[in-house]
Parts: sequence; C-alpha cells; structure tokens
Amino acid sequence: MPQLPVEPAKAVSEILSRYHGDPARMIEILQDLQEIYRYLPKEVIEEVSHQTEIPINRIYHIATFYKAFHLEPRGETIITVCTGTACHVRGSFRTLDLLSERLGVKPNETSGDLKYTLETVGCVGACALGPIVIINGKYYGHMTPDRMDRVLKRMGIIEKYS
Amino acid sequence: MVKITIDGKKISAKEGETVLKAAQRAGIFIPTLCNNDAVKPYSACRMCLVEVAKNGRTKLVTSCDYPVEEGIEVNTNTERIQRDRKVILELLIARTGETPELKKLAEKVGVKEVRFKVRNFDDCILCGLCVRVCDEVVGAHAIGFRGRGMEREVVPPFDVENEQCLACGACAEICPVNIIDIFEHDGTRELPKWHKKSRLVACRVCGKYFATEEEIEMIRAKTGLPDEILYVCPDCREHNFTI
Ligand code: SF4
Ligand code: FES
Repeated sequence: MPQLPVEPAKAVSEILSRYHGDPARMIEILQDLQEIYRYLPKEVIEEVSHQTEIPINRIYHIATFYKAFHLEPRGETIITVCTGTACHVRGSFRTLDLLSERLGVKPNETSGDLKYTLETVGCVGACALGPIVIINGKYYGHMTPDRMDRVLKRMGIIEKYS
Repeated sequence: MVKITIDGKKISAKEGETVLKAAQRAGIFIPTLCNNDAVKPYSACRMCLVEVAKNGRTKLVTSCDYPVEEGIEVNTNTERIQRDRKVILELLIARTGETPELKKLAEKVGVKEVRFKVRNFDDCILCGLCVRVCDEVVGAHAIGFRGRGMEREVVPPFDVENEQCLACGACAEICPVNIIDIFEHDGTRELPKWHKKSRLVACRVCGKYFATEEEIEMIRAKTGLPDEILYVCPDCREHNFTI
C-alpha cells in the first residue's frame, strides 16, 4: 500500500468545509477527494463517514455506483481508449492492443509501479474524430497504432518499454 | 378513513396507508418479495404491481409504496398484471435459478415455464431487505449495495469483515429467498456471506450460548445495564434466575 500523499483527516475536513459539511453534496465531496488521491482509498472513505456521520455502507454504495469513482490506485498517466461503436469500427482495438503491449498492462488495469493506467470507455461523444485516445485529459483524434507509437515516443514512454 | 375499491370490493382504508396494506387487511392476496413490515417500502422487486384507476385513467403502480387515495379503483389481477408479473418473476428465476421460494411464488402467480435462458449467475434477488433491516432496525449499517446493473450485489463495505456487524442474524431471518447462511459451532457464530465470525456468549446461569459478544456490547452501550443482567439469557431472566 503506497503512503497517502495527504493525511485523510486533513483532506476530508478541508473539502467538507468547502461544502459546509452538507452530506447531500456527497458526490462532489468524493470527486474532490479523488482529485487529490487519483482514487478513493479505503482510509479516505472511512474518514468521510467518520466526519459526516453517514454510515460507510452508504458512501461505499455511492462510490461503487458511479463509474467515475475508482477504489483502486490509479497510475500517474491515465490512458483512455474509446471503444464505442464508431471508434471500434475504425479499429480502436488495434491501438488498444498496441498500448497494452507497450505499457505492459492489460486494458482496465494499472501497472505495478503505478505509472500507467490503461482503460477503455464506451463513448466520449467525439465520434467524428474517432478513434479517440485520451492521455491525462488531453484528446488525440484519428488514432492509429503508428501515430500512437509516435505519441508515446514524444512522451518518453516508449524507450523504456521497447 | 379513505374509501377505495379493490377488485370490485369496497374497502375503507386508513389515511396514509399503502394499497398493499389495505388489500392485505381485506384478505386480498398481492404477491410481494421485497416488502416487510419491519422496514420501509423500497419497491425493488415489482412483484406487487397493481392497476390504479383515477379520473378515468389507469396506471400500473407498485402497491407496496402507493398510498391510498379517496375514490381510487384498484385491480390486482387483470390480464395485464398477470402477464407483467409473470415476466418479472421469470426474469428473477433466470437470474437465480429456481429456488424453492421463487418456485412457490411461481406456482401462485401462474408461471408455467421460464421463457428466458436460466443463467443462475447469482442467487440474490437484490430486494434490499437485508440491507434495510441492518440500517433501519439493527442500526449497524454493516452491509450495503455495491456496483450497478449486472454487477450489483450486497456486500459489507469493501467486501471485508467489519466491526459494525453484530452477527445478529436479522439479515438471514428476513431474506425472502433464504440465502444468508448462519453457522454456529464451538462457541462461534459465522456468517460467511459477510465474512463475519463472532464469539458467542454463554448465559451465566444456564450456560447456553445466547448472543454474540458484539450484541452484548451494543446493548451495554445503549442501555448501560450491568453485567448481572447482560450476561443472563432471556429465558433465565424471565424465570428470575440471577447470577
Ligand atoms: S441477500 Fe436476501 S435479503 Fe439481501 S438483497 Fe439478496 S435476496 Fe434480498
Ligand atoms: S413488494 Fe412492492 S416492489 Fe417489492
């Protein structure tokens, strides 16, 4: 278990004060916390329950219901490949295969050193630009394995792995 | 008093009660799975569908959480309801396989064959009764839902043993399909589904195991009763046996 960068008690009380401790804002509270830790560690969820007095089973229910929340550690670099219909028929799976090989992680998994998370998503709503790959929030359109390799090289990812 | 009609029968219902309650008091059968008087309605299983006619319009509602209203006409067994009910139950059976409880209900509502592929990937029907009894009655909040859609399931938070669970067994008692196992052996009580193992406490008078350590501690915290009462089982207490 990696050491948490910010002490949960401190992070939680700070974020709760942003919402005046209003538990009805649970989703925003969890979103903000996830921004700090990149996922929702167990200790953090326990701390939210402790400080809001909302039972932990409720918070766990919310955190597992929405796909936007992650309960497992995520990599520093998050690479998302759209596998929605439009991207799929244009061959996004080839780029996904390449990424999986280059990074050494299976789709929807994180590398052991917590450097990379490779994930797929149903549709990002930019079908005209497909296949789409998103790297840490930056969108790359018309992606092919060749172009992907060049992007990885530019980012300094590929030397290490090939 | 509110006047309503159920299946042609005139009934006076209590203000604020549900259609299901009114029907049950009048001896009219409506199938249910997720309803239990111990907890609030949840309308998860949809077995209790009825037709409610109001101002010349008819709609399908779940009777377990539909409050009575003056003048409504309720039908509990029209062709449409029978058809919908069967589909709902068939879908549940496709999910869980034909368990004894669902089989019994299937006979009652007239399901002759299950038209869907029986996948039997989970035996829980997600009625939420165990979660609600733990939240609302026991107050332990030890289990809850996780995920959604096909992946939805009931687990203790993080799917690990927790301290909130008292191993009281209320969840096992209330589960309508009887899938929460409880085992007692060598002075322990185990609920494998929640990864819970508790030590049992023996009555200081008769020596019989009668509660878990967690239950005793919960009652102590709530009532502040002394050990002489806490560690005597209800039977012995009734007969005024003391330590
Ligand atoms: S375990 Fe039983 S009581 Fe709990 S949700 Fe599943 S079917 Fe309902
Ligand atoms: S009993 Fe009404 S929806 Fe389950």
